[in-house]
Amino acid sequence: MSSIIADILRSANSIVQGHLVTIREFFQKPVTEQYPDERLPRMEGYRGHPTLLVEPETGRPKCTACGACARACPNNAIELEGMKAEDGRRLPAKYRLDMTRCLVCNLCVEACPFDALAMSREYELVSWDREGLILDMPDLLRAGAKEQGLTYPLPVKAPVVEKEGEKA
Amino acid sequence: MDWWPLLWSIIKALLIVVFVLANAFLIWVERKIAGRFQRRLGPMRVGRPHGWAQTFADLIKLLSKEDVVPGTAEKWLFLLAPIVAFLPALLVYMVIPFGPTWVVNDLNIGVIFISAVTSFSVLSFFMSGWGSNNKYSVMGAFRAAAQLMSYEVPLVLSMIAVVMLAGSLSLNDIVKAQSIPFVVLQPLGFLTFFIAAVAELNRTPFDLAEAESELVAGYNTEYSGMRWAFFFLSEYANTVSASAIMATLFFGGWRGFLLPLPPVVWFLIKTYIFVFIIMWVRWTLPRVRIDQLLNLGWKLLLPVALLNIAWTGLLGLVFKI
Repeated sequence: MSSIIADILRSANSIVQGHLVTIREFFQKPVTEQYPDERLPRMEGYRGHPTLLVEPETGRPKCTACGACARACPNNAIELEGMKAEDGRRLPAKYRLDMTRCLVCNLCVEACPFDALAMSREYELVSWDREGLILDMPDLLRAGAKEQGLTYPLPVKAPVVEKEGEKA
Repeated sequence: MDWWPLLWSIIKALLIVVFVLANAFLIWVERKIAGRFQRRLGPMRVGRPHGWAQTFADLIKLLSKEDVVPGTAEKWLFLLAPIVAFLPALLVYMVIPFGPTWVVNDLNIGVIFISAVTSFSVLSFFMSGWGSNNKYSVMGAFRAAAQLMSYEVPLVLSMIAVVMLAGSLSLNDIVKAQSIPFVVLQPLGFLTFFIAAVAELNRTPFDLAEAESELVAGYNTEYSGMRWAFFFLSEYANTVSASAIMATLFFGGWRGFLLPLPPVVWFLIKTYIFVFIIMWVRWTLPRVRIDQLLNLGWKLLLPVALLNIAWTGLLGLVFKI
């Protein structure tokens, strides 16, 4: 008999304890983040996709199309072609980053001898289709300029294609 | 012929229907409260601020859905069950005093009327469970029958103790007799009533008849659209009516204290505090097993309710209350 009563009292106590826990939570501030309206601060060292940096003076990409990043990429996500500008500086004519293959490993940035690449802090990499995840040069330059605190396009001098043989 | 009394009763009946339907906003309130208990925000998107239009969105969605009747269902039972579920919730308000004169019909057998009317919600569970011709539905219906019938007993016994103290079956007289709220005189009776009422409402931790993790949705598995919404609405209407009965029987109904608010405001405050407590219980306790449920009902609540009657008799003898 006494054990039954003790049992009842123990369960009653645990029920009261449980209710105290929930009511305490009730008056706490909710932890929900109302995503599109408010965003959490990004962590220090957060790494997004690779981007192409621009030269602030000329607005051209820092990239010289040496292909070191494409060789360093373990997934063959980078595809590029070079060309020569009017002043003889090599520039990328085509630079495609396939984000369906990129694993955000940072190896391209480490491989770049000209510090022309940087990882972005972007995390909203969504698209309606696969094609939307293939980033072309303008996309990468825009993201890169954003990392540098600039807005792309800067007053860009359009790169002119010169064939090797036509040089004076 | 004098048409005024007839007209007046129709107006009162309509007011009650409006009050019951207005409780649909509890769909939103419960989701907000559930969210806060889990440190979430609850619905935020439909209607600013704080998603207040969620109920309307839910109801419009449910209204626009197809009214599916399973091919093998017992058609009339299936179609009538949601309406039967809604009826007790409406009828209970007939005798509940919202204020000293704000009562539709102050029956001199109010308490008996309430226990009679609320107990036929088991009919709707069984009609829907049997009529659906679905094994989960009928399992839910069996559980509902076992549960509602066993909790009816302590519920009525704890109401009897209140009647003994007040010396009347009319709810308005019971409120008038409470110069001291009856919860002070018989806390055990109130606890019994509260637990039995939550069980009668089929709400967590006693929602075995729905038990979505075991029985899909129990007795309302086959229901969709507005018929399902009727079950849903009747659950909230029943929650409010059970809270109103608790406030009336144990906490002095429309009687106020300290603040000079109108009686109806006092009544609504007390009622919605109980609605909140029932939701609080729901978001704290896990569901009990069927054997635990029946053990609690017969082995604990019934003796406690009888003890409470003895205690009330003693109070009457010793203090001549």
